[in-house]
Amino acid sequence: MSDQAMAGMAGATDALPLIEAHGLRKHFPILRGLFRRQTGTVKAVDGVDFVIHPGETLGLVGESGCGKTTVAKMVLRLEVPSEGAVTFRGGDIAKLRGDDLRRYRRGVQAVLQDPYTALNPRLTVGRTVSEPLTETQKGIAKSEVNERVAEALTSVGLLPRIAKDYPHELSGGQRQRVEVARAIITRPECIVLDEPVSAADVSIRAEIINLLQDVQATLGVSYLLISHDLAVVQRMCHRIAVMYLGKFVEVGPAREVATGALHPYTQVLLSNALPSHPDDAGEEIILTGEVPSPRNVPPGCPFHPRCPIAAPICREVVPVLSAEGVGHEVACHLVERGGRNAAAAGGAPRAGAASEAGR
Amino acid sequence: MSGALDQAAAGRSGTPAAPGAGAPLLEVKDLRMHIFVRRGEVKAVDGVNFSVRRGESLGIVGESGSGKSMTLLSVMQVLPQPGGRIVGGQILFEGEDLLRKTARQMRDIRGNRIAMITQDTLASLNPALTIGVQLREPLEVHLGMRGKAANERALELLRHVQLSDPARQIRSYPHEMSGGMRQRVVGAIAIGCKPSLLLADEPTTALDVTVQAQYLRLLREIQKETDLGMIFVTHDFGIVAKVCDHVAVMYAGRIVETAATRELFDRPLHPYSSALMDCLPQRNLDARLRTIPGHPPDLAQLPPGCGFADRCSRVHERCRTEAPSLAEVAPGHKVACWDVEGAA
Repeated sequence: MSDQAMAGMAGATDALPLIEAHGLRKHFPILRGLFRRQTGTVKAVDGVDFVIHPGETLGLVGESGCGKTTVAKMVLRLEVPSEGAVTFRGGDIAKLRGDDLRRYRRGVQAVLQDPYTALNPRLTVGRTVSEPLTETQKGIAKSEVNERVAEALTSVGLLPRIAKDYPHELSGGQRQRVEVARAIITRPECIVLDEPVSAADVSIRAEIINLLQDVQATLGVSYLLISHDLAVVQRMCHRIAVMYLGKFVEVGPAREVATGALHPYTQVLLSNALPSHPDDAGEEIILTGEVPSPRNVPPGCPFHPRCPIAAPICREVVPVLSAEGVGHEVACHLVERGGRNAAAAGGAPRAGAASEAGR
Repeated sequence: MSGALDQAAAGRSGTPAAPGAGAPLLEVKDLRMHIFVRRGEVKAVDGVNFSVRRGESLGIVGESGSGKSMTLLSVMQVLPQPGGRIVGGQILFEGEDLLRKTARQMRDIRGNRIAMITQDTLASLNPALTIGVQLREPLEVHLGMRGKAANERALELLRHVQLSDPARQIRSYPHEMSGGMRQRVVGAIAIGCKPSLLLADEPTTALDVTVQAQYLRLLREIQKETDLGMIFVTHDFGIVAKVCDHVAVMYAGRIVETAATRELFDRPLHPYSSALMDCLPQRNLDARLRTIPGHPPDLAQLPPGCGFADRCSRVHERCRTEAPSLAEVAPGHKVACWDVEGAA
């Protein structure tokens, strides 16, 4: 994938960003009692910035509850950010109305997790696939809809006549393909993929990964891929953002993050990934305890209670993302300049890194 | 009755033998489980042989519909109804044929000497009962433990699965726990009566990687401590690589290849085994992922030859007419394929 990654990166630098997120926050109030008093706040997403370039895949990795799906929902304009904004080709998507909004809906589509519940069992494949088109382009001619459905089904490797079938007549792999066809029928520029393969069998998973890569190669569409499976993310993405309790802890080129992770949390995720051979089962870092609740984020570095190398400073000062390489940013007090992890290198934690801490 | 069971439990928890020594803990011979439905006879398990020793873990790998879960359910004799029936074979557990047991005798074995963990923890815990109640139930039913003794044992089990604050958690309900915690509770219930065999059906599929790693490590620790025999059903060779000593690859109700884990990874001889391995996204990151064209055959209308023939890249004429049977090609490595030489 390295060639592809390079191509993606090169393409990324000379084109304007397609989607940008600036200081994105989503806080949900916790309401209690008869008068719905606010007793707390769930900080689902707590200040993230990212850019998706045309034709690029950005991966969002993290455990359940880290806020990655909330980010996806804000990009799809299914949730309104509490603070910050998502822009599409430079314009704030929260301000879109009428035709502009419909144009955005055509431009940004989604493929969601479960192919069994995502398809309405009472609609034919044709109806399901055409819906994003007919909903966002009112008055489109019937003949054109049929043509576009056939075209979309063909580009995901299905026969156009499948449009007359119902979901129960399809295999798991075919259902996933139908979902992808539905996402590409509006000729979008970006597709949000929320755990597109995590519920599938390995053979179907491989099929869908290949399909998504083919679709990207032919249509030049961007992806925002959300997954907890690092192998899938590493295979499909140009860049990876690792998320923990609503914040990015490491962002960088996929290959670099996967092979030279700097944040201890990324290192844990990598060491926990399944091996491809019994001999690859390397040293595992096992986290104890659960992901802390986003309604009660620990002070300092949110990861410090579970961090295998936490130092005193981590309990007090929130680390911010800082550059450690070209396009590679890490939010950790214990990362030394030049991309080495203090603990991994056997050195003592560097207290001096405190200078750049703060909110 | 409880006295006899107590004794039995005490006998089982005695000094463990060296792993893999002596007679197999479980030996399944030519097991056939068919489901009789309107459109015919679904051969879900079609002549399966395998064995598991104490302290050993066997992985059964295959796609959905390959019969791997049905094999586990057949061992437990919890068959899909209506229509599921074991039509042949033997299931020898600690030397006794489970197929000759009465329903009552099987009830004494299930959850006691053979425990099972399934995929969906939310469905396997009762939402209306505290986890304390659910932990004590098998102890009361199978071991005749009561009151304080049962409670003590329940707490000990929660500590064993490394659940934080067991004294508080024992009074909570399943919905108050995260997926990882529930998975631990299910594990604690499973090992409550000190079973000698644990059947796990995709126990980590829905979990985060971190929780999956925690849980797999926990299962391995429990296995070592209690000298458990374990069968791990999964579609993911990555899990096999991590936890299993031996593997059986299943396809269309039959085992098509079986070997020690390392041997199978180094030398997969059945085209289905290598295809399934190459589907792993973590393999060959620079190459396009290999997929398996087509889909598994209808188990009610199995073709006369090899079930994999239609999807196989090395198919011969013979494969379509005559089904290959498992043959030993190296010590402990058996393959059911007419073209074993082609794999080399």
